[in-house]
Amino acid sequence: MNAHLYYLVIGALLFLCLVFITRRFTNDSGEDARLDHDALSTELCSRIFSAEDSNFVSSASRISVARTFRRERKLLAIHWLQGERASVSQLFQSYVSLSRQNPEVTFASEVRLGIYLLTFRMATGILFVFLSSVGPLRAARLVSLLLAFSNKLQKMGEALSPGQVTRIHAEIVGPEPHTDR
Amino acid sequence: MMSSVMSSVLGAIGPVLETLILVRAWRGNFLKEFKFFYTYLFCVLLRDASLLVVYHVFPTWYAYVYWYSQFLVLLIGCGLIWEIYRIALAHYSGAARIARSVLLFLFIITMSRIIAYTTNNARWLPGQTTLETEREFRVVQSVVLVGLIALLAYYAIPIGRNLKGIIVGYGFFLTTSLVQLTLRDYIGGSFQVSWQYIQPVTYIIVLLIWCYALWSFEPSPRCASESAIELDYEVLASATKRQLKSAGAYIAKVIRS
Repeated sequence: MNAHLYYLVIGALLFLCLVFITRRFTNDSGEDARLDHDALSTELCSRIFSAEDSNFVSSASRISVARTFRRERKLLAIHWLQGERASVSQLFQSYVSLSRQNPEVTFASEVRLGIYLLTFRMATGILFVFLSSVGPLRAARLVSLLLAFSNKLQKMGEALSPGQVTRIHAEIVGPEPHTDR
Repeated sequence: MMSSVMSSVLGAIGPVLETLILVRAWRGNFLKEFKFFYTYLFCVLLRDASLLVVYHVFPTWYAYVYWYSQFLVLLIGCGLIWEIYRIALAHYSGAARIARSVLLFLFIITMSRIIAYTTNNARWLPGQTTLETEREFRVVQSVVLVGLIALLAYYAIPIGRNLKGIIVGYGFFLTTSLVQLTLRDYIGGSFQVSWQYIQPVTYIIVLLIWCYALWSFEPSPRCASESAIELDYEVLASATKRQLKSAGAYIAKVIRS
């Protein structure tokens, strides 16, 4: 039965591809897309995630107003994240429309970029779930914790990399004594 | 009696539609645009006609002629997939380069499965029956076609109505063949009666798709960004990677600040 399932799955996969192909392929603009984030937009957007406004509204108004504020902030944060995701998609589509005609394209670079994009999409997908479920304030705290944890792991990884171990070993042991034969 | 008439009618519609598609291409002078496709269709037409003769004159030979001619058509079908790749990516050297690597990889993976099976069973045919053998080769074609469609989607390659029709028609044919051959193998002889009707009906649907898509010639659309060819790929890739990284860093910075 498992072998039969294998053939049916391949058939179903091909059928899904055909359904997909019957829809028009979007994006044929080939326009150059860039991500520009100035200091002002960074500061404005970071307010969505800061506790300052939320604390002020909570202390100075009724519970219902504070609740409405939190709901609106959540929507704003989600909207901002979707905008960032859309900008990155546009950037990638722009890259793809340039690379598809470039004879120098390499498989390794394409895979690497694909992995970058996939990682970005996954990370922002997780953030989207956080934002939708707990709101921007708690999501920011969670993200900060996760980033701190990932930085710590990265530093540990770097410390354990062969080059680093050799360097540390060289520092501890010191240079090998020169021997004349 | 009724079922025999039904079978004959379904069997006759196929060659009529095949002839219609070939005549339309000949009259419209676009046979040379899709050489493998029309060669494939011509071979299928010849096969259908010869099978009809064999069925009525030498009925005992029918099964042999059917399965062996099926392999010939199967091999030409591989050429058809190659033609889809060649036409769709003709003006996209970068995408074509990646496609060559990906499709070759998929082809080797699926073919090695067949080769491994064949060597382990000490038979030149991979399946225990001709049905299984056909199914194994259909899997190879299906996987390669899935890979090709994925690449066309990834690189947003614009494809014209003709080529889209060929892909959808042949893809539908492969899908239905895989399902039918699997059901025939799983259910056994009792499925044979239904299969006699299902197979020609699905094939008629495929021919109708091709009839609609290839009624007249329509060249594949080309994108406008030709100036990009001169761009250094390494510069482009590293700039995109840098921007992707900075987008991630920006989001982290906004949230943490």
